[in-house]
Parts: sequence; C-alpha cells; structure tokens
Amino acid sequence: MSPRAVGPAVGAALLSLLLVATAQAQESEAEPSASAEERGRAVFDAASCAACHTRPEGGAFLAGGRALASPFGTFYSPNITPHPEHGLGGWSEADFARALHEGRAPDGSAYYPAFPYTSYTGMSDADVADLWAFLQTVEPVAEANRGHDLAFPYSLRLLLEPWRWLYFEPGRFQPDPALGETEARGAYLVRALGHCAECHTPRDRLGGLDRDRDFAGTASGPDGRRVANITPHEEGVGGWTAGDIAYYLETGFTPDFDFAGGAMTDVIEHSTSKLADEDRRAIAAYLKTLAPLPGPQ
Amino acid sequence: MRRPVLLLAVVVALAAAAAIGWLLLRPAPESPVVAEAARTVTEEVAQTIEERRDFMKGLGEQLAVARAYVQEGVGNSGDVAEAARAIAERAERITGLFPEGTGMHEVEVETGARPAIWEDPDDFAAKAEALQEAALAFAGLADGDPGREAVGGGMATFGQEGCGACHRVYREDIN
Repeated sequence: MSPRAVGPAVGAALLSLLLVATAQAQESEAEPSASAEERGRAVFDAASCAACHTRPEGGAFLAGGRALASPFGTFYSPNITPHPEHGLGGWSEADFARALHEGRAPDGSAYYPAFPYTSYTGMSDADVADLWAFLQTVEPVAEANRGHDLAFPYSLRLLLEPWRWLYFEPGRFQPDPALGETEARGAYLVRALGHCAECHTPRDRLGGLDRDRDFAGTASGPDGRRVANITPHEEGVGGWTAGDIAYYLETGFTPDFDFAGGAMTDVIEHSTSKLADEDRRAIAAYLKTLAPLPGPQ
Repeated sequence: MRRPVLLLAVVVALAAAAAIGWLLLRPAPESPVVAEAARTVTEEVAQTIEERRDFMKGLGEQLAVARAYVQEGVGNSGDVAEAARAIAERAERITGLFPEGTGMHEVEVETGARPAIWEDPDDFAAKAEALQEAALAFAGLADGDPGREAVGGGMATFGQEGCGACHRVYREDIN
C-alpha cells in the first residue's frame, strides 16, 4: 500500500515529459514511414486490448461484452469501437488519454481496475495519441454495453475513490536508470503496455497488487485460475533462457514443448505473437532482471 | 457556504474510512473457483493421468523435431512433415485419455484438465479433430520444403490452431 506522494509525482511527470519528447524524437527517426495508425496498431497489440474488448467465440471486433470473473463479481468489458452511441464515438482524444492515464470516464467517474489503468497510466503520450489514431480506423459496432454484475459493496463506484488513493499512482512510466536500453524497453512493455502484473502479481483482499510479490504468480487469478510465476526463480522461468521466453511469447511453445494454457493463450494470440522480434527479446531481457521469488502461493 | 461543503467532505471521508475498515476486517470474498469436492484417486485414475501426460509429452517430442529444424537448421523439412503426421495420427486418441472423474478438482494427482472438458464433450472432441487438421495442414506445408522461416510460421499457426484453441478453454496453466 503506497499512498500517493504528490511532490515526487510532479517531478516525475516533468521528467517523463522530457523523456517522452526524447523518445518521440528517436522514434520518428527510426521509423519515418510508419503512420500514426500503423504505430497505433502496434501499441494496440502490445497492450493486448483485443483480448478483453472482443468477446471470444465470435464477438464483433472491440465491441466488448467479454466477461471477467473476479472475487468481487463479474466485469463486462465495454465497446471501444468509434460508434457514437455505444462506443467511443463521442469522445475527444483528451477523454481517451484521461481514461488510460487517470482511470476516469469522460463524466469524471472512476473505472474499476478490471480496466488496467493502473498499468496504462505509464503509457507514453505518443503511444496514447497513436492508439487513439488507430481506434478511429475500427469499424463502429452498435452493441450496447452490459453493466457489471458485482456483489455489494463493490457495486458502489464511490468506494473506488479511497481505493485509488491507496493503490493507484498515476504517472508516465520511467525505467530504472540502472537498466540498459533493451531492458528499459522491456520494462515499459511489461509494466505499462503489456500490463503483465495485472495477472502475474497476486492481489490482496481489496484487489490491490501485492508489490512485494511482483510477478510471482497467483493461485487465484482472473476467472479463478492459476497464473504462472514469471520471475527468474526455479519455480518461475529461472530455467528458461531469454530465447526460450521470446519464443514462448511468439508461439506459445515452452522449452519442453508444452503449450500455454488459459488466458495466456489469448495474450499470445492477440498480443505477444504480433510484437516485433526485438520487443519480445526486450521483454525476455527485462524479466531476467526481476528479483527471483518463489511461487505462486 | 464553505462550512456545509467541509462538513460533507468530513462525512464522506468518515464513510469511506468505515467502508475500508469493514472490507479489511470481514472475511475474504469467496473465490470463484468451484468448491473442491473430496479428491480421490484410484490406481486406475492415476494411471490414466500419467498416460495422458506422457502422451502430451510425446507430441512435444515431435514438435522438438520441428523446432530443431526451424531454429537450428537440424534435419530437413521432410523430417518436420513426418513429425506433424505423427501428431495427426495420434490426435484421435485424445478424447479417450480424458475419462470422467479425472479433472483437476477431482483427483489428488497433478493435472490441468479443467472441468469444462466434461461440460461440453462435443466441443472437446471437435478441438481434438481441429488438432488433427492443423497437424495435417502443417505437414502439407512442410512437404513443399518452403524454407525454415516459412516452416517456422507454419509451426506457429499449428500451435495456435492445434494446441492453443484447446488449451485456452480446457487446460489450466499448471507449470
């Protein structure tokens, strides 16, 4: 539990603005040909948006309605197509940035953290702008949102305000300065875009991430299923080479030719198999730098 | 004007504090995992589970042939096609390896077989058939000797359609 520290956060915001500006300059040099929509598609894949915002078994692309069972009740993902009534058609780009960075709807109400804004708050401003550009290219779908089905008192949205005060630290992602360039890119992909901790880090009773057990897996993840330890501990992926991890993220095959199960199958299909090779290698390199922890417990 | 606002803020803060306190002190909410019935295991069940784990590892050994070619250039595309056909031939054994009463909540032996297998046996059988089709398609691709990169792409597609389509729904990620 880390209450928000305002002073450092302001400093961090200023620093991250600087970093984003630098990153943007580098990016435009590296890929002058890619349009905002194309870059946005890559962000969309890395952030695995489709895995939750499209219903498996034939749901319309990004029309939402996917159920996510949790100990607090069942959440249903919303329609994020540009449909004016049911999707994001009436939103401004600023509304969209606020949703990702601050976890608030255009009317100011807080989102449940089933929407992983606790990770997306780290997304660079450039990535958010590109993602917005990509979403404008999606076919609008007239599918109404379904309300969440939550147990009392979790159904009280106002309770999210103290929850956010306890668990949500808004701010753009800044890599540990000790990390090399590849590992830092991996850290951004793992912690901000890929939001890996949302499943791979256990949660406490109030649904906050237990940061002391970061990435050590959990016996009761989303849909009540086990989630693997991805730290370099022998109970995690300690026995895997960085190449093994990258290949798993690309194909789903483990080093001993087992194949991913459960929600990770969706993550691989919708997200990690579509990343650039160097991004998968960056993720693998970063996971290798994590503190080895036993688990899941 | 300012005082009622302040009062309201205090009331909201107190209510929030009380709510947090209550949430922290009450027993943890029920996990959505199905309450586990008494687990039993007979010799026969243990044998079945061992057999199917060996079976799956056997499929993995065939895939090791494909990966060795794709990643290290060991062997040739014909070896990959042969391995993929071996998988296709075995696929029809799958449904028989999952008799009722051998799910992850029912036995003490480690298994990732989710209860959904027995909730929709027709779909489970269809997924086993899809494995066979995906393996044959992969074998057909490798027959044409399209080069390591293309075979690697075919292997990834096979993984998604043959392995992933079934594991997504029916397999708990246990290791």
